[in-house]
Amino acid sequence: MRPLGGTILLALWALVLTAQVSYEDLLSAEANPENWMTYSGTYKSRHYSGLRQITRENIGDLELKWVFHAGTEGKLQATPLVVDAIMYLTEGNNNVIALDAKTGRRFWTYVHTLPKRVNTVARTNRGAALLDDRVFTGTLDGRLLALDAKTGNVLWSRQVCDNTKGYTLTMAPLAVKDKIIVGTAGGEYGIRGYLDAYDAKSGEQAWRFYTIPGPGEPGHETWENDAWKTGGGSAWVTGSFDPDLNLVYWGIGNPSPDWNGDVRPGDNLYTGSVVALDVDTGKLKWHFQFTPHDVWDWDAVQIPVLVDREFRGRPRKLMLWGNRNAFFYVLDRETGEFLLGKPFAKQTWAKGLDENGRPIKLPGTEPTKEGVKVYPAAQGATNWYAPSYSPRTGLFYLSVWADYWGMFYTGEPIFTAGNRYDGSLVERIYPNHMAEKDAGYGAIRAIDPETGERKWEFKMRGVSESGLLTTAGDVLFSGSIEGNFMALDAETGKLLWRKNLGARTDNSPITYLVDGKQYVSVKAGLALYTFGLRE
Amino acid sequence: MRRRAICRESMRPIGYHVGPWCAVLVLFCASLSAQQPGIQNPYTSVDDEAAGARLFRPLCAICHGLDGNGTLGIGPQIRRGLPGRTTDLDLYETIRDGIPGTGMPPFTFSEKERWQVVAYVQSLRRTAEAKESASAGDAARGAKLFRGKGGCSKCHTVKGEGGRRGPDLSHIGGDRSIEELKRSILSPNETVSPAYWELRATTREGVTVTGRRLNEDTFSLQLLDSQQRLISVMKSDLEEYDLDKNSVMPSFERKLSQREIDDLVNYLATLKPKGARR
Repeated sequence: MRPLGGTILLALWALVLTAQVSYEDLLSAEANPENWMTYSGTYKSRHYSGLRQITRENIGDLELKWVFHAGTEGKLQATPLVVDAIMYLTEGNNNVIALDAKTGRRFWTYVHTLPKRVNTVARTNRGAALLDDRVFTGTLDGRLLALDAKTGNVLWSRQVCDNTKGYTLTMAPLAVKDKIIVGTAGGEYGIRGYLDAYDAKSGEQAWRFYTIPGPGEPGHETWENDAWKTGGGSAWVTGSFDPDLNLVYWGIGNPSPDWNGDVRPGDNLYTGSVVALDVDTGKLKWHFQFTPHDVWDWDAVQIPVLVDREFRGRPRKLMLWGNRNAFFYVLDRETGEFLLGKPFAKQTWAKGLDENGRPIKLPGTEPTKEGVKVYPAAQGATNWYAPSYSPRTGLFYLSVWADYWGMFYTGEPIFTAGNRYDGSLVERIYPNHMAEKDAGYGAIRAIDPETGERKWEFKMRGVSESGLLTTAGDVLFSGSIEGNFMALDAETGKLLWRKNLGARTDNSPITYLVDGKQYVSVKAGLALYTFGLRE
Repeated sequence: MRRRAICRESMRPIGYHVGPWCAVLVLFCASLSAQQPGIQNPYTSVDDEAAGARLFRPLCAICHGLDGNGTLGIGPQIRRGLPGRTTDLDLYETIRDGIPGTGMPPFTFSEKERWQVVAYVQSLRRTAEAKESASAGDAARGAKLFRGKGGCSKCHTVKGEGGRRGPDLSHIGGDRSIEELKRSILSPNETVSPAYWELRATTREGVTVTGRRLNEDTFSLQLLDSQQRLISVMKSDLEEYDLDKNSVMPSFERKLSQREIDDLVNYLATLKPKGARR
């Protein structure tokens, strides 16, 4: 008995030592693919894993290992995190759960009590951040919480924003160095959005970056009158980080009111943009605006995918971006320089992009009283769900709403704090594939970043809100709005395997290793399904 | 009824707008005459309705449609009331609290603004009902026609009796206006619900399959076939398939007299869920 007891003690000690995520661990996440430690897998946000047990050849042996049913009210939309066989999952009502990643059995639950009224268009949460022995999550009532990773107990709680005015926290925060970075959602409520950094240990605020510049700041001139005060600029999806450049990159949401730009003449910086901020100070290094003066609700909240590769004959630090406005962009992430832009889906609002990447808007495409038909519609040609980049294939992958159009109307923009400030009506946010002849279709498309050309397409009947995952086994995993969970050949797009999980998938699949075995987890409906190879 | 309304309010969590709201209720109650049933909207003037419309159009119509008919497929129709939410106070509370677990959020309007939106929603209902009152015809004769000469019950079910080829009409009078019912009978191809499009498929073995398409995804189709069987087919097993978006129901314009059509429409208009407004 003694030796066995000693072994258990040793194993427990090892767990205590290793079940912590240091900043160094986060920096080396790419080299340690057994864990999925940040929202997008690594700071480069490629949704790519170096795990290679599950391959194109053995994918037929994939079987269900366990299911976890969330008891949540609202959506289950989070990307789970896994470290040393412990999975951390957040629910739409801001509960946080720690599970055994091998069996799906629960260790603990943090139960969050929300006020009866929550002002939001999305009663959802997209995940947590891990640093040291703490779990960080934002809540719909505007709090950033630090939980003990071993117990779920609250270590500190910080009020980041005011939900009575329509601000919420829905994104998974990002842990960088000793800071936790989080941004505010609420672009349909006339907020003035911001990104905040807090000290992970004390919860003290380190810096704030307003996504809409105030008087005297550069960019303020892109707003007229007092529109900047209610100009939106939410941040509701997690950004990326380049440790060599010391920059965090974040996508910024739509201007408010969404569909009536008359009250906010100008480019409306930094809505519809990516911002590069010094992670220590929150100071803006550069920005690039994809959709100046957006009047279609095309948030630029997509995940910045960071790639180091040769581009036009020389090695470069790139940022790849499939935008909601239907254009694929390649930017230099040191300077923000525009390198390439090309539509990846049907669009009718721009003639093209000029040499600086600024769209040349076509007349007659802005919303009117009578309504204007535009491709893509309000949900965009892609949206917040994770794209992926595989260094093995050199391809950028994204989920596309193909041939998707909508009617855009102007309405009266009436601002009352805490209420929706859409300023309009839109029709046909979701295409109805059961009813419409020209509903378009959902697709997974692979793009060559060097040219912006499409390499392949996997067609689905319905549009998809599922993110993508590629692996070193050259498999691409994705779900669909129809409830299918699929594995494609990352090189060719050929369907290799699928299972009907019976409900829509609108998070992004992840993969991890426990006891030397690879698992793949995906959410469908209010449950998390985890697959592994048959033994 | 005054008591009922106040009790409801007092059940809300303490410390959350209870104080001011109770005070408002007391004021409203005090101002209502003894004959009035329940809490009624104190803001119902034409100007109030117009103010409600100004809030409704950008904020509510995005889900419920401009005339509250729910045709956007996002929020339900609200121009005919919702089950269990028919009074002014019900509507007021729904706007104030939202409906948890659905897409209906709470709106933090002022009390006056909420009542003005209620006034506008009720005006939509009056408009819808005004269209209905224009109907003529005899419902009893219409019921006989439905089961007899018209042959409607061969394809349509009413309260558990009838065929399955067309829509169940047990509550059709609650869902459609007189005008819409008439149009469906005279010009059935004008609006055909996608749930009743006819699927025609040929398998790789050359077998023809027809029926109502019930569901479809990237890989498969589910249907109620012409033999009234629920079947599922894989698209990979099909040579080809197509959907006929025309109605399988003929127009009754020349099959029935004007009076018979009025009778039939009048009968259909009586088919409503229990407790619904006539």
